[in-house]
Amino acid sequence: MSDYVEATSGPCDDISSLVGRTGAALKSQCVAAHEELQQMQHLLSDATRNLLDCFHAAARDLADYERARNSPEQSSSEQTAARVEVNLLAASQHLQFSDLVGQLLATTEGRVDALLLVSQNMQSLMLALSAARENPEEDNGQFDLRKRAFLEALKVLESRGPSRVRQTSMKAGDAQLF
Amino acid sequence: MSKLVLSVDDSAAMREMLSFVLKSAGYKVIEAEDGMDGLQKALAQQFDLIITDQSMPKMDGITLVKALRALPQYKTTPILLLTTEGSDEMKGEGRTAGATGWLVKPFDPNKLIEVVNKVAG
Repeated sequence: MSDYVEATSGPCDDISSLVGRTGAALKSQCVAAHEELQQMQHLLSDATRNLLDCFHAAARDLADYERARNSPEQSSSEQTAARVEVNLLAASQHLQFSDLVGQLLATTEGRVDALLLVSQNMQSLMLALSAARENPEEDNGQFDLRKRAFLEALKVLESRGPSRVRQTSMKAGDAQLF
Repeated sequence: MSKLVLSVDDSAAMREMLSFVLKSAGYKVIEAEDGMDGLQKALAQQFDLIITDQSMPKMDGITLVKALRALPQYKTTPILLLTTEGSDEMKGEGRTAGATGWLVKPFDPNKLIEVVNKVAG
C-alpha cells in the first residue's frame, strides 16, 4: 500500500497524487464490476439455455410416458421414467447458477458500496479543500479530518480483490480425490 | 441400510439440489447451513460422509474439516469440499486440513454420485 499521501500535509499538497491514486482505484474497481456483471450474464444465459433444454426434454419424456402407460409394454414406461430422472439430474447441475450468481452479486455489491463510500468522501474532501483555500485560518483541521476519512475509504476500495467465482459457464467443475 | 450424509452449505438452493441428487442415489441427507451448524449436527449424530462448502459465515469449510478431524469419531470419515473455488492453493489447504477430496461447483450429478459411492461405499 502506498503511503505517499499523509493526512497531515497541507490542503493543496499531494492532491494531484491523491487524485491519480483515486482514479486508478476507481478504474480498477469499475472494470472488475463490469467484468463480474458480464460473467453473471454469461452464467445466466448458459443456465437458462440448459434448463430450457432439460425442461423440453422432460416434457417430451412425460408425453412418451403417457403413451407408454397405455401400451402393454412395461419396459417402455420404465425407460421413459429413467429418461425423466436423467433430465431432472441434469437440471440440478444447471440450477447451481443461483449459487454462483449469488456469490458474484455479493462481491459486486461490496465493490459498489466501496465505490460509493469513496465518492461520498471525495465530495466532502473537495468541499473541505475549497473552504480551506478560501479561509485557511478557519480550517481548524477540517481538511485533514476529511482527508483521513477519504484515505480510509480509498484503502477499503483498493483492498477489494477479485471474485472467488471464476466460472463463466455452467460446465461441471473438476472432482479430485486426495 | 442407507448411509447418512451431512450436507453443509449456506446456500439453501445448493443444499436442496445436493439432497435431491444424493437421495436419488439412495442416501439419507441431513442439511446444515454453515460450518458451526454442521459441527453441532456432526456432534449430535454420526455421519458416514460429510460434504461441505468452503466459503460460509460463522465457520468456513476448511475450519470445519480441521474441527471434525480433531474428533475421534471423525478421524476417518470421508469429508468432501464442494466449492466454487478451485485454486491449487485452496485445494492444498483443504488437503492439509484432512479433506478427502475437492469438487468444484457446478457439480455434475453423475460424477458426484460416482465420487460419493467411491468414498462412502
